[in-house]
Amino acid sequence: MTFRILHLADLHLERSFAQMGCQGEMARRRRQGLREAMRRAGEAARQAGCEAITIAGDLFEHERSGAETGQFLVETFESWAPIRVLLAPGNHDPLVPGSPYLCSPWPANVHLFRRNHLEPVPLDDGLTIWGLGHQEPAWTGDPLGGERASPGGETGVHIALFHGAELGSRPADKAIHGPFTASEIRSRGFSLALCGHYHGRRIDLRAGLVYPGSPEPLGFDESGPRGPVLVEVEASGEIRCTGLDTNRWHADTVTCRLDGVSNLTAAIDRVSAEVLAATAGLPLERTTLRVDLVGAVPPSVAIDLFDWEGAVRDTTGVGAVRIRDQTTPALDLEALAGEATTRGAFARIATSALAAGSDAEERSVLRDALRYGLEAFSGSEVGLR
Amino acid sequence: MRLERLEVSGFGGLQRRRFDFAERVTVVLGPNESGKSTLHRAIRAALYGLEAGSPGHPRDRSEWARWSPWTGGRYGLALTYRLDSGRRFRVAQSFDRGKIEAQVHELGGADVTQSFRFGRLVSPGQVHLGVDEAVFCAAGWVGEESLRLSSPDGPSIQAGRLREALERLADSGPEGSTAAQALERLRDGLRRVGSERRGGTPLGVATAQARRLEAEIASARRRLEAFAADEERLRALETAATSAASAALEAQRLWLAGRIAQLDQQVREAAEAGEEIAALTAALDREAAHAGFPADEEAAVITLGGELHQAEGIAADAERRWADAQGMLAAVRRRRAEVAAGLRALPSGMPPEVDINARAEELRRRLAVAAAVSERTEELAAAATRDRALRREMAGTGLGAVPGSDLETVVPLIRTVRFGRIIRRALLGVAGVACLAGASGAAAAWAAGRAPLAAAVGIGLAAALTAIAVLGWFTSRAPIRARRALASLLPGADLEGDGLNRLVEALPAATRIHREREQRAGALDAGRAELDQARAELEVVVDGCCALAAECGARAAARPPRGSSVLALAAGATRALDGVDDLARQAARRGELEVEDSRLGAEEHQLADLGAEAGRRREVAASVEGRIRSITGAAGIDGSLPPLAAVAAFRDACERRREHDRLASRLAEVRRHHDPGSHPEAAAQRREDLISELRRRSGDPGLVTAGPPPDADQLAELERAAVSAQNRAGAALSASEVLRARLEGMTGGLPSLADLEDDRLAVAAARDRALHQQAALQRAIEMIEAASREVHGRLAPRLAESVSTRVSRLTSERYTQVNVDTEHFAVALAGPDRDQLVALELLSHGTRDQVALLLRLALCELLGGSGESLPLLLDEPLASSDPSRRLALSKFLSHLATTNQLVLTTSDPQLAAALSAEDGSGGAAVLDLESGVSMADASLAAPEP
Repeated sequence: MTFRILHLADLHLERSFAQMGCQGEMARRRRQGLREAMRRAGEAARQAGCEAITIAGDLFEHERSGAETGQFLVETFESWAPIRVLLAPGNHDPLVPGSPYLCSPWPANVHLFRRNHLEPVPLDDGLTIWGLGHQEPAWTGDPLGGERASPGGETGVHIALFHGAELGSRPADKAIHGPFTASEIRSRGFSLALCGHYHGRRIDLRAGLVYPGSPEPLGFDESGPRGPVLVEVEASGEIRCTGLDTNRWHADTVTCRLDGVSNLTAAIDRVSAEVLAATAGLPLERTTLRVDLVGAVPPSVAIDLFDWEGAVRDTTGVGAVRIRDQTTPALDLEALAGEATTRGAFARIATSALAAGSDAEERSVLRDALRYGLEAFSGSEVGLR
Repeated sequence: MRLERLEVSGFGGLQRRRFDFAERVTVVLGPNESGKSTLHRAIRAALYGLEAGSPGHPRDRSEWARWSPWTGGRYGLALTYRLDSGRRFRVAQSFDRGKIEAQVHELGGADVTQSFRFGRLVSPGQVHLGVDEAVFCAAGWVGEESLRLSSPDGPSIQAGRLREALERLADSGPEGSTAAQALERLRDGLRRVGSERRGGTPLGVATAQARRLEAEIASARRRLEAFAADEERLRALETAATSAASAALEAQRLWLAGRIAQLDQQVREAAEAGEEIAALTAALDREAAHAGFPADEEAAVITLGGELHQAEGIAADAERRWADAQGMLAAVRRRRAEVAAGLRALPSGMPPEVDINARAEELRRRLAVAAAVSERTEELAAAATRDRALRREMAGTGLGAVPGSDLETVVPLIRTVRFGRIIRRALLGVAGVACLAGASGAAAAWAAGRAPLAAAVGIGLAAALTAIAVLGWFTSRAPIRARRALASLLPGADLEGDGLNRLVEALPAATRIHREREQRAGALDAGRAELDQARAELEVVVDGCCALAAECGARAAARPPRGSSVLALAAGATRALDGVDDLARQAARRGELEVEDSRLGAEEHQLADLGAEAGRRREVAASVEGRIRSITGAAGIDGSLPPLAAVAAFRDACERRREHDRLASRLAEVRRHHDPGSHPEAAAQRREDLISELRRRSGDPGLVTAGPPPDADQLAELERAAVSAQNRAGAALSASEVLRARLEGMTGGLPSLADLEDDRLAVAAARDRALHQQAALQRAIEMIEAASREVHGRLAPRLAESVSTRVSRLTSERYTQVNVDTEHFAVALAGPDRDQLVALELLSHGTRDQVALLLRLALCELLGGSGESLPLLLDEPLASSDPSRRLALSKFLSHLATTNQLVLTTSDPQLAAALSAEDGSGGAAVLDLESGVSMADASLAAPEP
């Protein structure tokens, strides 16, 4: 008989989407979208005949959660019964005082892993889930470490469930919480490790490692289909994993070259065209996009990011747009600095100050100051970046 | 820079033409559309290249398209020019489609094209003039309008426009903005960003919103925390209610179970009581014969039985002891007879007041000490013998006459004597040698006939012998004294030669013997004194021993006479002491026998008492037995039974009587407690009711009989606990319902922390962005202000100096001094006739125009920084001027040509003639485009391969 588990992680309920350019109603819709993603996961589990749903941490963001979060989770999990729900808290939803995990009256089908070392929960004859929960937001213990925290030579299928950072595939800017290596999974006697923390999906049956990724995009770099992973465990011990594409929101990053544009209208038209091309086939109202402007732009083309974002949203109908200006002024700064004019002197002062800038923030200010000054000298209105 | 020749293969309307420029003034004459302006543009194109389109600038709308040859053919030109330093260059630009290229040669030198390449363009003008094309156009390419400062405007506006033009040139070039304008735009940006205090600006709005949201978030957090606390309280209340309800239910279950158990117990007890009454009645019937037995006599009978048992035992013991004692009594009596015989045989004993043993012991100790000393007599004799032997050995050394203490003085005396002998022999030897040598010398001198010498030798010899004799006398005095001392110490000893040697050899042995004798003499004297003392002590001890023996009455031998040998004295004392010891032993033995006789007498008395005791005990036992027989017989006990068996039978009968009484009592009690009127059916019904109540409260009746039933107090306590728990549960439930209702009412109105946080983050990002913009704009303003101060401060004095030089020459020193303001390049002039500086707008039109042109020229040269004079391309400069003004300007331009080459265009032949005539140095020429020179070879304009 096949035992089916639906695995998800990194839902990040109550997340802030301000960094993605979502504010007010849009941000609320995005958060509602996360709850809908969770309900859809339950539906998917029911349709697939799952007997358990595992959630490997970061189910919600503790600092923005409240009683209502706990109430939603209790009601949702209750509606999933008799499917069993196994919760392994992560670094964003650790088991700290005041956590909805500790304050909510969980229904009988929910099991919460409360210790920071793996402990077993038998699911079926010969199938055991070993889970742990983070007890603090910055836990750096080894989730697979310790003799008592592994099945060792016990018979049956043993699956680990935790929130941790697999060091071999860690994205560059991802924090390390619960570090481990993929090779430890099998050496510790586990057939599979159902993990959370990385927002990109990774199914590696050879190493026995599964990251479902966030079911809805939480950042501009989380593009493509997303959703939970269906895990099927045969009586023989054979395991199959299938990623389900259930996301309804989309995110992407578009790079737009502005070389050669001579005026504001042409520039915005070009950006809009690029955005429409990149979002073809996507539901625009549920798409959040980051546009990286690159290329050399004449100082006379003022880039006011706020105005541009509004203009592109209005033109394309995309839900949220966040523009990053990475353009350079279409000027030979070196030649400019060689001028005997005030503009040349300004260019010299600015470039030397930029070279001597002590930190990134100061250099950023100086870069913008240079752009503003050149725009002002060019005779156009200064575009606020 | 001086332009020498322009060769055009094709450029606009010009085709295959060559133009040679005069050194100072070249007037290009031609009607409209003849190509005058094209010529100027061609010169620019030669010096700066031609823009042929770029991203965002299509080629067909570029300068390249505009100036492409009208009739097709080759598109290009070549310009030859000379720098002020004398170096000559030829730049060839080819603009043919698909083959835009350029080449620069230094004439007489190499290809230097790469030195002038800027991107896709080759611009020798930018290098050699030091200014870009825009600045060159602004300063060196002058139309009539540029020369005349907007004549329709007032002077102040003209001056302002000039200042602005200068500022623009100095700040960002002809197409840019002045620093002031740039700053104004930046300040406008700052105003758009706003400040944190101005509510209507983005920054102000963001700041206010951020503060508001911070407050709202704090408030929301407080509300959520309060809500969470209430939730926690609700859970606690619910838990308490559940717990209290459970406790109440449990107490009720326990009470019901207890009551059921009680009922069961009562039923069981009723049944058991019936059975017990029947059993008790039957048992009473069996014991009815003993109902009247005199059980009150039991204590007396038991006591008598005990007494009898004890008396019989005691009597038996007394009989057994008497039987055993009879043999012992005979033995005691026999021993007493033996002791009495012994006492009679021993003497009556010593006087008890004499402490014989202590005194005898003291005397024996003193005797042992004295005897031990006496034993050393032989050692003293041996020591005396050894002393005599040493004395003989000492005499053998020859030093026996010397007292031991003087042996030390003998040694130096002997050494002195021996030393004196050695000296004497040495002096004698020297004297002999001297005599022999002197005699030989004197003889030889005498033989040689040298008598004085012989006499002198003889005198010397005599002197030497005298000196030796004196020395011998002095050295012999100490040995002589030593010899005399030795002779007194050792009379008769041989003090010469071998005798002295022998004495020296015997000295160590004599010293050793002397020391040994001294040591032995001390020990010998001490031993003798000790022996004498021991003898005296022995005499005293002998006296003491004899006196003690006499006091005790012991038979002792006579005392040895005084002065007897030590051994005789010791033997006498020992004998006296032995007699004392014998007497003491006999006295001790008598005492022992007396004690034994006394002890045996007491023992005989005790053994004789045992027989009397046995008789008394037999009488007591018989008395007790009689009293027992009397009581038991009265109670009907068989009289043939032995007395103790009769007592046992009496006690057994008493036990039966008590059993009868207990059964009767129990029967009465059971009858009293058992309610014959109780109804088992009612009890069963009551039990059923209680069981159903228990089941209703989820109790298990099967467990009721498991334990003993509680008593009434316990049941009352359970009832109280149930009521109390029920009250508590009710109170907690009520409070929790109120709280739950309140929380449910609040749930919908709880703030969304995520929404607020999101808004706050968005506002914070907007605020941060605005602050960043503010900081960047501020920095830009500061840096432009600094740059402006630096450039203006540097340019203004140099402009003033440059213009001063020229204006002095051009105005025939009417104005010799020019001042340029560093702020906005406001110009003022002064001259010998006018002490005060005069603002530009107060000067005449002509002067203003000239100064304006000079200022632009100077600024262009200063900005270039190359020091190269700028050729001026003047396009119809005097077309609309009135004659007087034309004359003035002609003169000005003629003067200007002394420093800057002029290439000016006109369609007026008269003006051309006038301008060329104005220059009297021969450095002027007129190029008539209508009849100008045509190039024979168009390839001239093509770049060299």
